[in-house]
Amino acid sequence: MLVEHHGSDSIRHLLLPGFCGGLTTFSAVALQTMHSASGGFFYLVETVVLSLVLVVILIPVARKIFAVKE
Amino acid sequence: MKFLLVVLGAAVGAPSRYLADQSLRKFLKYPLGITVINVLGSFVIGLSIGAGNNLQALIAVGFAGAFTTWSTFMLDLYLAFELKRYKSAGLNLLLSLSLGLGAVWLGIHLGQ
Repeated sequence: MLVEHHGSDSIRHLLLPGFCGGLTTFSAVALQTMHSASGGFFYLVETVVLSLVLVVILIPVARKIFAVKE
Repeated sequence: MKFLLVVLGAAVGAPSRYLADQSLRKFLKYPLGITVINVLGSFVIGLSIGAGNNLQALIAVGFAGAFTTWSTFMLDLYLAFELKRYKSAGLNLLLSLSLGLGAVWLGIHLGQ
C-alpha cells in the first residue's frame, strides 16, 4: 500500500500486484470465515475493519513521505 | 516438498491474477476485475481444501492464495471512497464478501 502512487512502473508492478498481491489472500479469509472455530463472521468483520483502518492511516502517510508520481 | 508445491502454485496464481485483471478491466464498467478474481479463487480454495495434502498445498494454499488478493481489494475500496464513488465501493464490498463466501461454500460442497 505504501507504493500505491509512487516510484517507477517496474517497482510498482513488483510490489503491488507482485509482492502485496501475492502476500495477502482473499480466498483464505473467505475460507476461515466459514469455520466457526476461527471466529466465523466476527473474524470477517474484524479483518475488514482492521484492514480498512490500516489503509486509511497508511496511504495518506505514504503520500507525504514519498513524492507523488504525476 | 509441500513448500515447493506452494511455490509452484503461487508462481502460476499471481501472474494469472495480473493477466486476468488486465483483461477484465477492458470489459467491466466498474473496477470489479479483482472482485471476479477473488470470487473465482474462493471457489477454487473451497473445492480443493478437502483434497490430499499435496494437492491442497499446490492448489488451495499456492494457487488460490496467490491468485486472490486482499491488499488490492482494500486498495480498490479506499480509492473508490477517495474518488467519492460510494456506490462502486459499496457494491464492491457487498459483492466480494457475499459472492466470495458463497463461492467457498459451493466449492466445499461440490468438492466433498
